[in-house]
Amino acid sequence: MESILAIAVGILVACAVFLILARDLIRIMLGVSILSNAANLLIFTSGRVTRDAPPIVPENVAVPEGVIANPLPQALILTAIVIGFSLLAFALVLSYRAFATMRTVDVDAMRLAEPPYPGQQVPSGAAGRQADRDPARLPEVAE
Amino acid sequence: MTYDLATIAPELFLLVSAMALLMLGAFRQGNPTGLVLSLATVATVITFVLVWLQPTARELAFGGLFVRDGFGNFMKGLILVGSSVSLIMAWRFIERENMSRFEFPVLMLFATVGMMMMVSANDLISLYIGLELQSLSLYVIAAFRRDTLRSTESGLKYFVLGALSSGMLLYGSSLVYGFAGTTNFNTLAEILQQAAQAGEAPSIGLIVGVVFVMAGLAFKVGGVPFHMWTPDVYEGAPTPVTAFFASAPKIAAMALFARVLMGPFAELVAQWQQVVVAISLLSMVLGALAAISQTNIKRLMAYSSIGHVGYALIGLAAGTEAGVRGLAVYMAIYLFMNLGTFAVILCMRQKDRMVENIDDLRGLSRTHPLMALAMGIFMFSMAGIPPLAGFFSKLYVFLAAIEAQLYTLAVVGVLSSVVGAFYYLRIVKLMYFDEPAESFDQPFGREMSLIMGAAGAITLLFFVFPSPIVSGAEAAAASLLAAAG
Amino acid sequence: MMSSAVISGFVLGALAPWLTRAVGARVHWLLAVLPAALFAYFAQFLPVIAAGESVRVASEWVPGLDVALSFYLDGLSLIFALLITGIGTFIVLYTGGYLHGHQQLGRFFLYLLSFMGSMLGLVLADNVITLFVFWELTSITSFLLIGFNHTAPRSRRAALQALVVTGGGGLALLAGLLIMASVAGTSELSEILSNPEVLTSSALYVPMTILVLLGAFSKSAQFPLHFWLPNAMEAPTPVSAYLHSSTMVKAGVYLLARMSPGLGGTELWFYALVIFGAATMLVGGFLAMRQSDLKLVLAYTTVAALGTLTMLIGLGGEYAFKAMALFLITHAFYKGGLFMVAGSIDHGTGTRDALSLGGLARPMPATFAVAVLLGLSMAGIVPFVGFIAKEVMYEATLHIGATALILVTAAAVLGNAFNVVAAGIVGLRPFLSAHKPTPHHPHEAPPSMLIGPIVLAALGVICGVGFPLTSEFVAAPVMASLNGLPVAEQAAGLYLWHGIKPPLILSIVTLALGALGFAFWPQMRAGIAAILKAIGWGPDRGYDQAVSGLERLAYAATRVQQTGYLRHYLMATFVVVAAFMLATLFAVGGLPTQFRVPTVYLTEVIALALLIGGAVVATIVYSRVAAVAAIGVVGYAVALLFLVFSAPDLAFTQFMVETLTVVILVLVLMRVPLEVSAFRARAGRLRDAAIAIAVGASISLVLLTTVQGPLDLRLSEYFIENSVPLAHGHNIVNVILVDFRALDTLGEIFVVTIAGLSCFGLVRLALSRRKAARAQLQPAHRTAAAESPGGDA
Repeated sequence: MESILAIAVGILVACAVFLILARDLIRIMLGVSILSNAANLLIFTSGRVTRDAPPIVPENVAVPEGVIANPLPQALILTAIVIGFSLLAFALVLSYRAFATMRTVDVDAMRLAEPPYPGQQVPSGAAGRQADRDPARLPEVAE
Repeated sequence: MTYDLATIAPELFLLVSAMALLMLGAFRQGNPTGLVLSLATVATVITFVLVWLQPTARELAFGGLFVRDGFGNFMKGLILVGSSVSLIMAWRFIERENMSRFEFPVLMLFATVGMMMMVSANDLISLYIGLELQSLSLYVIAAFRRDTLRSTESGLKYFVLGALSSGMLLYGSSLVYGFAGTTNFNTLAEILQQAAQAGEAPSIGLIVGVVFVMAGLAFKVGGVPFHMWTPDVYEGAPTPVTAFFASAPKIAAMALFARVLMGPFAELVAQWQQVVVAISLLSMVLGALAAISQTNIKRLMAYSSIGHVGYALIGLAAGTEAGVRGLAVYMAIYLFMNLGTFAVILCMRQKDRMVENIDDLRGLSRTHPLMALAMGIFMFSMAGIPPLAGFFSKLYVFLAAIEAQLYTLAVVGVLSSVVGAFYYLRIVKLMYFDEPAESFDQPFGREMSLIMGAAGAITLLFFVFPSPIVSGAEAAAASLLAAAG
Repeated sequence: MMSSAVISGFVLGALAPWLTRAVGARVHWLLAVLPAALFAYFAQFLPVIAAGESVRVASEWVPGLDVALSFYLDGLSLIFALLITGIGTFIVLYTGGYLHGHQQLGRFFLYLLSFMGSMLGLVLADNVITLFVFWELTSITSFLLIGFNHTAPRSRRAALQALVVTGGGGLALLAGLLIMASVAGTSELSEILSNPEVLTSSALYVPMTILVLLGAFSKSAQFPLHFWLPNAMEAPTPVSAYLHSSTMVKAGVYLLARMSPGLGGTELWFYALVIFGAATMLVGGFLAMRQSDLKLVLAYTTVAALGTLTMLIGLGGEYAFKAMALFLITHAFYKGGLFMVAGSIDHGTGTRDALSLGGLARPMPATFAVAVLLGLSMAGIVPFVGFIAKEVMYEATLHIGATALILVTAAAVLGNAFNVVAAGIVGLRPFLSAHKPTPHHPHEAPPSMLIGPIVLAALGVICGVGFPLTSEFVAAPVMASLNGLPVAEQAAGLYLWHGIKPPLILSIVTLALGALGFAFWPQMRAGIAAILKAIGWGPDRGYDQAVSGLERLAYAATRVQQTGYLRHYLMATFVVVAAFMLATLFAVGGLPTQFRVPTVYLTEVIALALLIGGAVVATIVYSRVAAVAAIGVVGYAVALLFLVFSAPDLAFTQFMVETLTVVILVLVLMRVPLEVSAFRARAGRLRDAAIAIAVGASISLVLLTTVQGPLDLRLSEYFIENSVPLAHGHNIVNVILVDFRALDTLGEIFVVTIAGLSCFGLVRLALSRRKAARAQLQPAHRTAAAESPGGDA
């Protein structure tokens, strides 16, 4: 079963990478979300999977009999899920703030810190509507 | 359990202080930032003392998740120096730049706790958590600035790249777990040792896992090819924050690098050595080259830090005790040079606003002779010119590389020092030989002069009294290697 | 004591600005006491060293690095120490006259005395690191001294150029020295050099020699790295006389001489030193003929002299080493003296252009007298020690084998002839040619500026006439350092006259050629100028080209990797990761060997279909609402998988977290444009898809291999067995979290705290700003909103 999960993880990662390489900030964040799900699944798969045997010791027994699921990765994933969620929440708020101040979610337009070199072209992959606004000309709404 | 708490006393103290200051900030009327900032500085100083008082004997706590040893104590000491000096630098800056937000010092404290946890992590997942604790705080700090557009942008870039690198670290840890069934450093070391003794070649999952962990760490230290965030974030962040970024987190990540590679993965030295050599080479060369074309001093410092990371990694690449000692010496000296330089940069104010152009330093020797002297010392030292401290830090790592027969690394290191010297010396020439630009606003504040003076004295006089730093680093290296061996 | 001798220069230097203010214009007489005393101190070692002993003192310095503060005094270092302190005394006096009343005289003395300390440290150091430290210190003090007149752009450029060339060469030297120390197993020069076979038989002999030579050649201005030295003439004349003729530039020669017993005796050593030395000698002499500025004439002949010394060290053998020892001192005497004379002329007349000077014999009689003596010494006339040096040099060139003999001898004759011409240009022409008007009315130099040249001129005669003493106290000890044999065994005998032999004939030829050259100097000068113009390129321009090339490379490097596009950075990261994984997969092998299709239950199929379908949909749709819904599906599918595979706790947590994620996503979406407006072009999408598939596929492959192997379950079993007995908990996952891994859970709680805190902070920041913006910038804001892609949500 692990092999099928391994392939599923690969597909999730591929989707996430494709989204992260997008120009649209929100899609990048969606990619991050998928990536963290894939990470959890990766730990899960690495710890090997077992059907129908939750890692719970029955009452009145000190040590469970028979095979039960590997509890360690589950504990690690619980930690990872929570941290991943915190990161994602922060990421979304940051994106929102980015939009609120820059009025765009196009990452190609976010060039204030590194202004284009003389004669530099927009990366070959860019199409669609150009950066709707040049952030350099944006009125300092925040001030 | 009480015993465990004593082991993490410094971390615990800082964490509780951070929480207390958070409460104070949230519930106090008026503007609490100044008070919170001062108390935060005091908290880091007290934590430094607590770390100082910690015994250096190796001790595990919390079921082996946490390790306290001489190496960790040394690195934590450096981190706390970085944090407290950065906080001091922020005192005046916060008022002047209208950045009064009490979350800012609190987040710096949280970040520092995260770094201390990283340095003492003895388990891949604890490492991940410490790293996230640190990173998350840093992402927010990077985005704090009045100049919202720029800081939001740099915070965003930093976050996306940083989240990616944390992700890689987590993927790497999972792969390692999938191979070994544990994430504990000691157990990992045992398992790998047994495998090596049995003559098994390391499995691909393990190698990829280790490299992923390294990629994550390389991002945090800002080594090439995971360095792209540094110039942006250095420029976009408020200057005291940049000083903080350039010092404490780098030291923490570097310490972690050493602990992970020399500890659990010591058996895989043949595999990771190549990767460290590659990162080191690229960082030295690119750091030196790209710095030349910069006009903004903070961006220059970003590339300079990339270069310095490359040199420090030479020590790690050697994979020996001498190498780790070199790394520890390098980071210690780098810390002082860096903090001093940033103190000078913070004093670069004309007509009540910050200026950041390298050209603004012209003729500084005539307008502010002492400041120029301090800056000159830092620049000569960063260029690695004897007898200043920066020369000895390079010497330690070069010697380690030669002993480990990494001649290419040593020679490329020397060559890129020549290129690097070129731009550091250009600043000296600018300050000493060029016609003065507009003079900087006075007064700088006594604390700034003190930081510059102290950092300058340490850099200048290291060659007279090298033993405090060197023997500390020596003990640190020995304790790290003792655990691994 | 010896370390105090070195340090005293720095100490007095640090006090000099203060002393200058306190004492006033006569401070140089006070400051000169130190170098004079140091000279006396070193002079007392002369008999000891001549008796064949050496002195070594050492103390601990840098812990753990085998860096000791150790000093070593033998024939070579003693002669250098005497030159440094002796000439230093006169330079300090000379400076007092030359820079009389200069505002920054104190600072000048600081640099000058620090230089003296550094130079002493350099020649006395026994430890390679100590040697290097002082080596670079001389470069820095030289940098500060050249740039002393910092109002002139030329001197700023010259200062930086000298530092880059000599400092850079110094770093190469460091690499060479470190390798040498690592091969020899000790970093004390006296020990390293006592075992030459270890060095010459080492596999690293060639790289270490080349690195050491690079350091020495850059410092001693060997062709083609000679260009910085003439430019350094921008410095005040005392600096030229001291650093750039008699001491600092000889540091490279010193190093070659020092290394000669250890690295010498091989073909590489011989050819490198002789070829570069001879080329430098000829190029320096040739270019000197082109100049009319007295200082530049002297500078180029200094280059030539350094070449001669290098060549002599390379030639090796009794005669060459003897010639090297003699030429070393004689050059220091006459060149230091002539520079001071040139400075006096400049000081007295306001110009130092040979073409506009003439008839100075009458107004400056004392200067004229010493200039003639120094010039004769330079030209190598009997009974000056310069004559003996030249004779021995010819003896040396005549003693090497076959073809090289003619070439090297011819080069030596030509080089010496250039020297004769230069001696005429500086020593005779300004005084004896027809009177010409000068910017100032010419006046004689003050005593402080005369004493140095007089003593140095006298020494040239004394060492010549008193040749038995020169032989015993100078030649033999230096030769001992050069060939590593005891002093007593040196054949150091000298002579002023030993009959009409080939060397004497060569001497006469040299003088005749020189006289001819001097007579036709103006024509020769024009000819050389024409040749140089035809070539149109020189190493000095090469330096500029290298600097601008480096800058272009730097810009290119910055542009390529720092494009400013986040997507490029991400792409680079993914490409590196994918490339690494694929390379490892193919290099190490270890691709999954078997693939068994497992039994899959219906629930699992549904969960997997939802998972993959959701991910793919999220990737391809451009409607944000649909994408968020798809993300939710992915999260729930993961939860379902957790549930199926015995992880109920995870499943419930995942359900909760996923719900929250979707809620937050929707909240954010309500505020941003609902349709994606910035797309990638088709080519970009294809490229990104390729990267994505490469990353995903390699992760799958690695994971497949990993899960094929057995898993070490010791740790998990420990938790399973001890959950109830140790922690009294039946839910093992919970027990692990709160008991076994409590620290992680604590950390995790704080991560959540910070995330909450920062979200709150950021939202508050954004809200307050929007409010403020709305209040103040209502019209501007509205325009901004109207132009923005999706309108203001």
